[in-house]
Amino acid sequence: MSNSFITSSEKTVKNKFDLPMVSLNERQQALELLPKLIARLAPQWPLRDFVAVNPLHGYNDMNLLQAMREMQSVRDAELLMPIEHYRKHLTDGTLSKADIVQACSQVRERFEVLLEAYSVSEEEILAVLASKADSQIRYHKEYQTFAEQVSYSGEITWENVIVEEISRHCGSLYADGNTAWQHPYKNRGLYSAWQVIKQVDYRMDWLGLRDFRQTIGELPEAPVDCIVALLRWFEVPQKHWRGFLLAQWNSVVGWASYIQGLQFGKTIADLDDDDLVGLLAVRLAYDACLARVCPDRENFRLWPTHSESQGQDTERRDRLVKDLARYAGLVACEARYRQHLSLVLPHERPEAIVKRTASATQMVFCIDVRSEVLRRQIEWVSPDVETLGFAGFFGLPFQLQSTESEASVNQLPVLLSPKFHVHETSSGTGCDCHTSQTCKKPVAVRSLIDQLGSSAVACFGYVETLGLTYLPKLIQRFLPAVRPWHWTKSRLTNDVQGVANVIRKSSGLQANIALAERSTLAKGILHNLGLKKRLGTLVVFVGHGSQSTNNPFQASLDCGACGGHSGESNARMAAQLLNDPDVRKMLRHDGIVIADECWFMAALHNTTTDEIVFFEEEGISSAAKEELAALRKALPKATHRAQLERNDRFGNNAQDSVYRRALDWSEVRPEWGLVNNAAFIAAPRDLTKGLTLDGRVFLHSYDPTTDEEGTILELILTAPVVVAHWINTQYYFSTVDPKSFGSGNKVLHSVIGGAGVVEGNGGDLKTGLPWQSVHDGDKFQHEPLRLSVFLYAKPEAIDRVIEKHPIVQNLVRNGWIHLTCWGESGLLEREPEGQWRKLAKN
Amino acid sequence: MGFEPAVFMAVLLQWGVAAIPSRIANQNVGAMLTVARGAMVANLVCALWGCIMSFIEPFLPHAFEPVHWNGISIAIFCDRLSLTMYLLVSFVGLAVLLYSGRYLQGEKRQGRFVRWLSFTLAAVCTMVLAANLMVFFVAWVLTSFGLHQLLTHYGERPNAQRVAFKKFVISRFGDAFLIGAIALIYRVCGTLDYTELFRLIDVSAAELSQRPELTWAAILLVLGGLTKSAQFPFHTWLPDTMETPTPVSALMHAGVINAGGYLLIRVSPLLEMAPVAMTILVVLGGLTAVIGAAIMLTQTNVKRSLAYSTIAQMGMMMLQCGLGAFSAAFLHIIAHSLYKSYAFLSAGTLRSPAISSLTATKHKSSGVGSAASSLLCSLVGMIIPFAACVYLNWFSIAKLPLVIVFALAVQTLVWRVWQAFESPIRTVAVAVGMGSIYFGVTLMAQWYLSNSVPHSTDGMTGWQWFSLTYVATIFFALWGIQVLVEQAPKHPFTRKLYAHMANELYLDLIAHRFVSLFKAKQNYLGPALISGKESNV
Repeated sequence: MSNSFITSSEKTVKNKFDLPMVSLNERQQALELLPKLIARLAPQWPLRDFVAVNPLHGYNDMNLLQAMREMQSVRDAELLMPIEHYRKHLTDGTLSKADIVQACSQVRERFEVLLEAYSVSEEEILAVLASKADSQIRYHKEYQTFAEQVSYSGEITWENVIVEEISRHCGSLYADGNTAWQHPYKNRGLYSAWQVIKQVDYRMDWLGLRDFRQTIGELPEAPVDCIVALLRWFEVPQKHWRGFLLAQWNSVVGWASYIQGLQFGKTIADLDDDDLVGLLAVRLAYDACLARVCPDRENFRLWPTHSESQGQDTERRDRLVKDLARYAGLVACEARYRQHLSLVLPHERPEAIVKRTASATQMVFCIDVRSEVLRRQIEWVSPDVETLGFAGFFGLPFQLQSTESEASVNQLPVLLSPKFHVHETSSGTGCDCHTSQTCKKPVAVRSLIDQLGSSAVACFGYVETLGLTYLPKLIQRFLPAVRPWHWTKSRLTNDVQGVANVIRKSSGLQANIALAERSTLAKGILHNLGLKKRLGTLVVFVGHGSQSTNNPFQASLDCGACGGHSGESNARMAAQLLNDPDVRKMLRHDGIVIADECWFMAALHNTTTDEIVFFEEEGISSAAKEELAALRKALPKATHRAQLERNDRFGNNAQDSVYRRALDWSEVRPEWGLVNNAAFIAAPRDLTKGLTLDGRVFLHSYDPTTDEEGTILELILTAPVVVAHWINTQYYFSTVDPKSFGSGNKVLHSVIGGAGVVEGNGGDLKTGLPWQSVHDGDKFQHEPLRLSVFLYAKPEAIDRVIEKHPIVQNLVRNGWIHLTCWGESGLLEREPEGQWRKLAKN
Repeated sequence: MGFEPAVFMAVLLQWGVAAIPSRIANQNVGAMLTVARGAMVANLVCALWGCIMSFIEPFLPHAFEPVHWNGISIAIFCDRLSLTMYLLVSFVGLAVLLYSGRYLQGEKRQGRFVRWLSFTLAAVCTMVLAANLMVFFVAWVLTSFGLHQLLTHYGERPNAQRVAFKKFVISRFGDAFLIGAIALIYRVCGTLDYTELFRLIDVSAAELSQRPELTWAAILLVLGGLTKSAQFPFHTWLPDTMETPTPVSALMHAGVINAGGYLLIRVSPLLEMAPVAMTILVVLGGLTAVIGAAIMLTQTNVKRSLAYSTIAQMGMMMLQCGLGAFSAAFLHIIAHSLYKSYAFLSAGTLRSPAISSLTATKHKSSGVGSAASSLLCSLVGMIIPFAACVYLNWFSIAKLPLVIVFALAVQTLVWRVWQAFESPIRTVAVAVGMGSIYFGVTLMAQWYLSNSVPHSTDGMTGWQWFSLTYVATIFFALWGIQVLVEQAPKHPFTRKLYAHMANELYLDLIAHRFVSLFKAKQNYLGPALISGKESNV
């Protein structure tokens, strides 16, 4: 069978791969088009800096339904929960009929034109939601890769082979330095490295793509030229370039996102140097090589033709009705949640509640939803303590050079760029060496031993000599899982705190920045926190970090505002700045008086165990010391209560389990992270104090009386709200389509050299959160809702910011975030078109 | 004594757990885990008991036969070799069972998973303890069956099915080799019981070694062992088995893959009589070690790199068997199992980025010259303790190839010492120290297994001269690659080599094509499928 094919095709297919010449005009067109398409691809960061990101980052300029239609034409992905999800809400009473009716009318208002065009009525949408008929939606994207067409069925398909090829190539280029024998052209561009190495690689030839190696050599050297030439070769009509190319990118969306993450915030002058363009050229080249040996390639449909789109009109209408019904379900759920919030939030005369005197102890937490639980418990245990919420990097955008590794890490939100550099130094433990080389010695020895295990000949000696030492290591690793908790709790607690203890004892932070700059930074912190005029005696900056063992997604549980790292260094840096007598002197000149007894401290909130560990105490004033002692006494109780609350979610009441979760290497759900997040409230804490918000709300402190110019509001709307929106959408999409936007099942993951994970034997890099992060085995732990933002500010002030910033404007206008504010007579919500409407209070 | 009935009962208990239907297991995951772990703990205790007894009241290898009915006997064979392997399997098994509780929590079919884990473990324990080649064979097949169930745990994944099928086909070849060997052995010796077999070999070795059937039997045994232990050219199923949860990989790489090695060590008295079989082991084992190690270096996927590491290490173990260093091979199995199970279970831990000052050896005494002198130092360091052992008649000179391999292995470390001290005498002293430790441990293993494993102290024969030359050549080549990668990564030759090694030498393609011959519905990529538009759409 195969032999006959080869002989027949040799007659029909020309051996030479004659690519059309690329005209300057066409190149210019591609150069204009490509950046627009690149903007549609969402970034993703390496595992060590895995911060939340909106997988539809490039689609902010349209609303959810438009984005869905756009995306589904080039990628098989789902952006809404299945209709059964909302039907179940209707039957179990979570949603009332009235909610749905109201949502439907909102949907009608919103999509009037669309509804008319397809003559869809509100009743029809309602009927779909209420009926029990099968409403599964089957569709295929309109644009396809050639390989997908060749083998739509079958176990191994050409599509799998090509994706695997590209995935391995990217892995060899982007994996961190732990692979002993690295790609010889690692530092070249993706495309040219590929071109060089594939000319000596027999795999594709032997799989049946004849003359693959020569063909690769004949391709143009510039990836843009290659893309244009292949577009011409495939005879893609110009109006389909866009969809065709996006479909190509989306077939390796994992690596595309990864490269987008590497290049995030950088401007690349020449598109030929852009690895995303390189990736596209590589993908197209594989498709072309496959098409070249395919005798009947004229019969393939890679883009929608005119006749097809007409014939599918009824089908399209059917899909639209179902999508609208699901969208109405989502809108109803969101409205219901806001309704629920507005019932407990104060409506009239909130000013009366806000208290503007300073408490003696003030604790500044990250806005992270996990802080809400602990803050509430601390306030319950000791009502005198005031807690505040602020982005967890405390306004200090720096790069940290730790003693642990050579590379420095960014301790700031990915939206910003670092402003200064901080060195971690070893101090206080008798090690008076300041040269980093000597301090790294233990790390170096460990790394040498690691290297022996993974080097060509040495690995044999390594196993023979050191293999047996893994016996005690194995036993030790299992202790957290098998030790009965009551006699080990204290030991486990020590293990848990061990990490922080080591940091506290052995290192200090050094930043070489001028005094003027330091005082500007200090002033910024106090101003943005609204604390300029009302500082207490003890102010604690509480950074947060998660503790888990053997968890490649650890960074997704750490502080997103600190670039996916633990936030203690930012807290320490902030405290250090504000305790600095020189800085305080400078601040006094600017009219900010910090009393001598006032002391700033740093602490770390361990989000797995809800424990708080304090850092440096040297130099603390006696008044602050008393406050600290009282706080220390109260904290264990608050921690205990927070643990109980969080354990409820795990469905077990054994109090030890948080410690085990932190240390057990077989634990796939160390904590629930930011699961179930749904709202963002920027207001004085007094408005939310005492409310049980179930760890679903980002709490940012904001008092308009300290913000006459509106700069703080502007900052909140452009930075923390956007970050919260990214987190929110990451959880949203990882839940609605775990297959496309989630990382899949943790038990099948294999790490690709620090870049990311693949599931099973290989394939594309996975993006988003793993299934275990949003699902507990029985049900989703995350309820997918878009972010509802509540601001304690005047509508006009908010409108001003929205007008000024297109990012915010896009998010608000397209319904990605929903704004509510406190008006004169109660809560007001903002319509997407811009009017403010009184929030109905049922 | 008295531990034998306990061992027997413990293994039966494990089989009992394996007999629980998946449906019931899925409904009571907690209870299932407790029962499976309990049974494994019983096995672990019994194994430990047996091993300790071998010191307190030393006993000769013997069979314990509780069931003897109509000529069918089910017995366990007790000596330090089988009991220590049993100890290893139950330890790794317990580790995997403990790990699976949390790791697979929330999976719909966790109970089924635990059940087949127990099944596989029971089969491996039976295989290790079997007193009869036929029982060994049955357990060997059952192990493969249990593993097949685990590999298809996510059966809805097409890749999982495909890979499981590949492993299935290759395993059946292993079965065929083994059953052929067993038939030949029965023909020559008239028995399959280890006790009688070893007695027969002991008494009439000279006579038996003249029989060509026995040589053929040995060759088939070797081929069977190579198949099971994922040796070239049968290795390609192993790196593709990552479609199954991590604990299965740990079990496979630390418990099941050793079966081939264990078989060869078990029947080592028989192998010793067939130098051809031993040479095959040296050739294929050595080749696998070298190829596996070179491929391992290029893999960026953590689990895949670990799989190639296993292949290489198993190759090394086979090489040791082929050189007659059976006790060293045994030690290698134990050490590797512990290392590899740890490595797999902690595969989710991100390694910190390599420190560049170490990877790039920009030291004043880097370069080929200093590499060569450090190699010389480590060779001298290895040869001194080895020569002493040979002089004292503790080792056979035939193990000389191992000296070369180990000298090359410690060269990297010796090089660092060389760079630190810049003194040949100190460097040699360090190397001698390392060599003494290595040979000391090997001697201990030899003493530990003195009742189970033959150790000859004969001089070099023609076959062994060949082995020496061969091993020296391929391992120097591997070392050469390592130096080349460090010194000239962009040389056209290195570049080509990289492309081929990163592609795993394309051996998976050949295996796929071979395996697809056994499929009713041919669905293998290749020219046939490119025209597949008609057949598929």
